[in-house]
Amino acid sequence: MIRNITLIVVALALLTSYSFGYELLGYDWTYKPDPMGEDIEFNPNCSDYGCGSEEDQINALWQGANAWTDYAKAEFEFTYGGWTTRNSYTYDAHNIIFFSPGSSGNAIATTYWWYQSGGRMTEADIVFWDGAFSFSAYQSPSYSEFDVWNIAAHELGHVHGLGHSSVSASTMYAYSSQGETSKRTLHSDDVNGAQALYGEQDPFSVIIHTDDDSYARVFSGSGSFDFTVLAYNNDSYGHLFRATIDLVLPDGSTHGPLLNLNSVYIPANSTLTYNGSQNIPGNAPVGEYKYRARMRDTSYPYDDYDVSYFMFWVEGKAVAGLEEAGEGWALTGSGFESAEPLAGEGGQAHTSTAIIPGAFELRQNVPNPFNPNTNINFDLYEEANVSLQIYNLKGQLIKTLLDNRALDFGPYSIEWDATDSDGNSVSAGIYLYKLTVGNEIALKKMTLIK
Amino acid sequence: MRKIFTFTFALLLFAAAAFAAIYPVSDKWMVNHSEVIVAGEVVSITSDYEADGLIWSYATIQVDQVVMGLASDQVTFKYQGGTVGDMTLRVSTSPTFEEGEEVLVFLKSAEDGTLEITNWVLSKRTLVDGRFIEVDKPYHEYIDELTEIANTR
Ligand SMILES: [Zn+2]
Repeated sequence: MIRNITLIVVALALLTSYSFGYELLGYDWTYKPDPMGEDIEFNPNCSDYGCGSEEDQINALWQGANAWTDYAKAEFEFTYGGWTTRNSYTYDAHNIIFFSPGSSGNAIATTYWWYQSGGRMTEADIVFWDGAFSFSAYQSPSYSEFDVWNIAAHELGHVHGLGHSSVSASTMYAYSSQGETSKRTLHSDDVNGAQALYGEQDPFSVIIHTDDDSYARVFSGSGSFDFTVLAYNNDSYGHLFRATIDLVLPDGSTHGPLLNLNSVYIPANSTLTYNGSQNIPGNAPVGEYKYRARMRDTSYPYDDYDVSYFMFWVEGKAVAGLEEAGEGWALTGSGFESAEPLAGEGGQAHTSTAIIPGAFELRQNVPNPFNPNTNINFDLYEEANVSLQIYNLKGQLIKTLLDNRALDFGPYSIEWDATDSDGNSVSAGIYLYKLTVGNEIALKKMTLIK
Repeated sequence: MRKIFTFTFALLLFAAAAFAAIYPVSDKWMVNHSEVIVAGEVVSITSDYEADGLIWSYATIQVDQVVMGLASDQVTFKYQGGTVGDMTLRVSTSPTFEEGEEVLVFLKSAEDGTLEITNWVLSKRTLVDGRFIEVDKPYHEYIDELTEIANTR
């Protein structure tokens, strides 16, 4: 009997740690050409009081898409296909999300996937059963409402090709409750599922969001909103990027950049944050705008590593001429680093006082502790004469690995084999490594074990 | 040992079978909103496009047990989703059925007079090794429970 109980416990433990988790259904969009992206059209026809304006609904649904596009870090992106009045989940070559005035059993929302042989998904539609349940698309749901952003994030996980996860905290867990907003953001299990389907995204990514994403920014006249840009470098080396913010105007044309940071340095495995405030001029044309952050290569032709955007709207007044759109889009903020505005790209380029990388960055050696070999890594951000030396804790020089060497900019990794300048192995203990770049010095500790 | 295996297997299947952004309901709700409840083996499934543009499937059950309602030896019911030619429709809130499966289903009349599942994925109980895995109860115990609910409604 005791043995049986033990077995049950072990079985449950195994289930918890291994078997439970995301579910792949055997179909996805991977057959589509790179970069993979799937256009979604939105019908903001929710009739509930809590759904707020049509723009609030578009915003909440798009936040659900961005939960995946921005945060899953997988090679899959939803792209904004604009508004639609379509309201059918039949096969019609449009991926749509809409609210049905009807009810359908106890379904809160349903995803309809169409796929063909080879697991090639060709269409996915999402219906919110608005006749049966009350939804909220404006800020926080009450206990009697289901949160549109929360549910959209779940259903759009289905659109990826994910089934239900057994991790109850995950967005892809099958059951939702009223008032729930915790699944607006992804659980690591959801991230793992998306990456299992599409692979991990390039290590460079960018996210832009407002200071409160739970309602739409709608302006009738001049105004402003606050925003944050997060730039990620998940590579094991620091990199330089070009970071820009621009606008897609209601007529589809691009305006800007409003912010143009030429050489943003992001250290290895790091995130940089930029906080800004965007002015909306009083003469802005009526319509829907995309506010877009782009993380790009620093060299021509400025390929985008990643793009992130949200929509805002100008409404309720006489239509101004598009030629006036260029005026008054002042952007203020700080973060990242200062940069020179690109000549000739127009817009009101921003200059800030934030961080420019110094001449170099010395990193922790890898591995550490070590025996007997370890790599000392540093990034050099300018050409310089560089020395790298090993000392013991008494301050005695053990070995010189680089002696006033002229080096170009770039990442460097120098191996030390735990020998002194005579080639003899040194004893176990703590050592210091000292990097001298020009007349600047950095020191770090490392531990040799035997 | 066999019992333990069944238990873990059941948990896994339930995780995969619960397929919905669904507000869960009790068996009593299911009984009260159904006209026919039967258990048996799925012996055939056919699928076709319907007038609403969706693919629907028709599953036929060889009835072992009538829990509620009038049923003949075979009962056919429809549900959304299925494969026609090279195209498959899968519906996140709908159960799926396979030929040879032992199931219990909650059914109601559709507008066209045929039977359909009562409430999405909640309409299906799957029998594995003598137990309905969605409720983790032995066959006869669960049938008796449902019968009692049906008799008191
Ligand atoms: Zn679901």
